[in-house]
Amino acid sequence: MTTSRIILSLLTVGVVGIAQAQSHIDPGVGGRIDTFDTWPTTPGSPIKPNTTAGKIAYNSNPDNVRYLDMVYALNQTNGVITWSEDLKDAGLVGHKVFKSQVSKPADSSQVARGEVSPSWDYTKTGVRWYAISVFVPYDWTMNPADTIVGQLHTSQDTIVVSPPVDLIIKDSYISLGLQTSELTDNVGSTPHLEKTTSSTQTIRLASIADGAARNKWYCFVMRADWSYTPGAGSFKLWLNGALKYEAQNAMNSYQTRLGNYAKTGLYVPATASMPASQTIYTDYVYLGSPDATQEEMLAQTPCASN
Amino acid sequence: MLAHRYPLLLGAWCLAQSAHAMTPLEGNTGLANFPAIYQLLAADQGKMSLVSDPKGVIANKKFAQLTLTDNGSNTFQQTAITPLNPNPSSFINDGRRWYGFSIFIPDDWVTNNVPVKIAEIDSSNSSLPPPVAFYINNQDIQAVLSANHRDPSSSDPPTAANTQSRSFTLMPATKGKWNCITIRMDWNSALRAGEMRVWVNREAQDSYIALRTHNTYQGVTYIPRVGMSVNGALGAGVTQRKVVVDAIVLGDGSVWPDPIQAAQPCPTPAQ
Repeated sequence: MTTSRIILSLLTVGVVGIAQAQSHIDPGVGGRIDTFDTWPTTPGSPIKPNTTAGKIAYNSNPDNVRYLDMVYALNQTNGVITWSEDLKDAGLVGHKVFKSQVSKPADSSQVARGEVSPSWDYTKTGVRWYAISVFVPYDWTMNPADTIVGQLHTSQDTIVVSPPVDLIIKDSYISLGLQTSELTDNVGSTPHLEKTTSSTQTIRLASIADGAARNKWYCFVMRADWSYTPGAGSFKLWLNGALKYEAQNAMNSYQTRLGNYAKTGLYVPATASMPASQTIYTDYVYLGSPDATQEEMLAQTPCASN
Repeated sequence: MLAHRYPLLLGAWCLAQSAHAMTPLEGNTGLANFPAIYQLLAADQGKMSLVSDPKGVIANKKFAQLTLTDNGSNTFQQTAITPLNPNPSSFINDGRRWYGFSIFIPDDWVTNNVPVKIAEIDSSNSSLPPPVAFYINNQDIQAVLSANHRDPSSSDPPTAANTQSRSFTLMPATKGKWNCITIRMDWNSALRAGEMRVWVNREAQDSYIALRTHNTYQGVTYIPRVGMSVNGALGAGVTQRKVVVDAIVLGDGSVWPDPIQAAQPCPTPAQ
């Protein structure tokens, strides 16, 4: 745990009180929003906290309205994120969720993305819990393009590398992608950090070929003990409550500027073979402290009630 | 059904014979000549019998039915087979090898949470876990991959405790059918080197890919085994387990999945 996170955790405990401090789900980062509006700027509105600690403290107070831009950042290129009621009823989730829609660009050198990322949460090393849930609609268009629906990404200064963890739909399969390297981003060294020098794994997790496997939530709970040291680090991934992947004594990230952070939605890096459009729903991203459990994280997700 | 495979298999066999003095695609003719080509690894040598294809599809080929009876000792128990030829010494080096494991899980297999190892590519370093192992655990076949980049001659040598382990669900453990695993290994113990690809049940698309990922230990040789082993008891109410296995298909770097998969007893999946 970094010093900044310890300070923020102590601040959170002070603000939230004993009852919520016993939860291992971080209230100040990720989680639900109350409105898709951003912080009001009309005359007389309260002043927006201008520090990361202030924003986390604000979010940690259960009496405060959770504005979109206080909790999440949106990244939209040839795509759009909305806050949808499509799944509110019919026992699918019971609340509004993010809807990501992307379109195939005319210029295939462009990417397509509609992504949601919890703000203010970066972990360089040590344990962090994540819960990302996506709802694959029945009319999902099967296609050979890598379509990334969730990531635990790295923050680099200039080097472009694949995320340490990505959740991919390609053809009719959901797969887990893992990337790591102990190299630094010193481009003058040989070899240096880049995509083509990083270790990569792809593990098939589930098939969505059958219609019964769509119109369904896929809830990923992940415990990362982040490390870029060879022979150190661990990672676990549960899908809908079942442990699907586990690594021990295995590095799982890169040296990073800010740390690793979560993203969800749709991201198509190579759009030439993608369909004209694609849509997915994604629930809020939940973040847990090192003492969290898989059961505690899963309980936050739509899969807890399905 | 097999007739059309023979020219291809013979060609690959001859090619590998000249290149590596080993016997690739051993599995195409089955285990009829068992004592000459395989060794039974079991406390009781009566725990293996040669049988016909339990699916009744492949004629003129013999498979090994293996029985593991719980001896009540709560220690390591094994009924497995390992090839005698090629000699394990021919597996030495960092390089490309193909492996095909085929296991028929009977309908009466009792599902429980006691992992049963059904196939492995072990190393010559018995103090370290096998680089590649597959287990039936509950309703799945799990892969467990182990590797260590450390130099055995260094002050921080590889040990079981500091070995990297990666385990994941590879495929369902399907009863009443052949379960086939096809592996291409580029053995390497160095960081950001080595490659592994795994296909299941003759599917065209690979289920697992690892690129620039070390997958073994420095200076070891490899010993493939197929069968059953457990560390302890078989589990409550389970006194005996049976599987039927085919010979392990071995290939050198010149082949691709098709001839390896064609030598395995799984049917071609519906497209």
